[in-house]
Amino acid sequence: MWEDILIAILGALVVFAVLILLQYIIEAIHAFAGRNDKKQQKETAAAAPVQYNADEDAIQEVELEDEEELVAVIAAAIAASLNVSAYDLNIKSIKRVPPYTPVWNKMGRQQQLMNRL
Amino acid sequence: MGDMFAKLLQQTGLLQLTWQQVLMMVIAGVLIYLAIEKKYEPLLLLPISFGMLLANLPAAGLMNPPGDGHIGGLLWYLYQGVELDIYPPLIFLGVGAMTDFGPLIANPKSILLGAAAQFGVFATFIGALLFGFTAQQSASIGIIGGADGPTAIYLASKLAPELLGAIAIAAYSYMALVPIIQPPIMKALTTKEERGVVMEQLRPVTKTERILFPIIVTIVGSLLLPSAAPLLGMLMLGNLFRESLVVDRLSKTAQNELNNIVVIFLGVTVGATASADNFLTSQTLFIIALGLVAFAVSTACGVLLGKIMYKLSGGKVNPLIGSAGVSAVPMAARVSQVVGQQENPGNFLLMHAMGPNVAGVIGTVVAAGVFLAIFG
Repeated sequence: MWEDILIAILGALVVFAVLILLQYIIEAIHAFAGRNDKKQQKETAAAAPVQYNADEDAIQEVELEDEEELVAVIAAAIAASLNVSAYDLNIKSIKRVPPYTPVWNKMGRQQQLMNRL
Repeated sequence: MGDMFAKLLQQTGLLQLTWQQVLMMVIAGVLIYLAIEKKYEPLLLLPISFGMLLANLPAAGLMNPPGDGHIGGLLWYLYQGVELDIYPPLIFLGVGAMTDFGPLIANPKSILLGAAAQFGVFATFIGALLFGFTAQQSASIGIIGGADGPTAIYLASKLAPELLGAIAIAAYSYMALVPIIQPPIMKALTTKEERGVVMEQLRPVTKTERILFPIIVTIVGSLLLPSAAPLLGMLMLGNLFRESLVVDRLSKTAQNELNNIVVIFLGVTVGATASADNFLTSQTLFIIALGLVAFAVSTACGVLLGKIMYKLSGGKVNPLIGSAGVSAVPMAARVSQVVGQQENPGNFLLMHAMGPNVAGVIGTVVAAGVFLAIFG
């Protein structure tokens, strides 16, 4: 019995030790690769649409029908937030970034919204 | 003529039906009801309960191994994926592709909460030993406290295949009951003030960090605990698919089609291990009771470490995120969010709770690896 209790304590300690080690590893990764956040994220945003286009398939084509409408909505939104007329805007390109947020995350947000309605 | 009729009657399952099998079918029926009407983890509970039904049909022999001129039952062949530990790592591939480790990378300290929530696993291991289970069986029962279905199935199929059905059913039932089991424990252990803590926003995580994380965790984790390599490796591969952003198709397949296919096979065959002679024992009742204890202790330990972190950080950590250390993703994190919001409607703990939540997945895998290293 004592041996088994020892195994349990040892097991819990190993789990802790491994996860604490992981904590330091994550911090090390951050020190190594966590710098210049902004540059990185811009790159991500720029690189993503290329990849998205490569994977274009039937679904994408269906969505194309609404594209003009989508552009109009985006233009209107920008105009509103910049407080200028949409006629004064010259939108050169709109790039789609793949969804970063996992589905559950979106669900959670939706739930929050629904709760407040 | 009468002779032929008697022969035909003997061919049917009716005469071979035992009361135990009838009882098992009733239990399967109840589980199907819970899955469909109450929506208790229906994606798994429905195939599991139907597998249970199929395995208890007399004379159908769906779980019979080949031999004596028979080619063997369909479910026996599908079960080889459980027996040979193929399905749980494949599920983990999907879980990895669905999981965002960002909150954990942004707040590495939250990994400790994922570790604390594994105490329930080890406490229940001792508890099960006291009830007369063997060490291998106790380890498999304890892992229910990790609230991680695939890991529980993986460990049980290796250490205690005879308990697989009961353990899987207990694990998935309690995962479905997380929103009922956890809040009372969380509220009992925390003060109003602690529950109302608003945490600082998480820092953004760079793409390089997201890519390096799965690679390095795989290498380090598998070097330290080789027995955890199949689960950890596939989890991280799935995550790398997701974060690399160049194999969107693979990532989506792992998350959806592949995962769904494996869930069907896994669920049905795990349910099919619950044959009457295996399942209708006093052991099953003990497993279900011990599973609840495991869950409660894990939740409590997570919250208690959360309290310690609250003290040490000078009130910056909300202890409620500790309960998310049990790895039922994302249910446990949502519970933290909901309980936190009851105290302070403007408080959003969800992302903070996701750190311990995904750390809990890694923690449970490590705990399983420890058990496998000792008893495997």
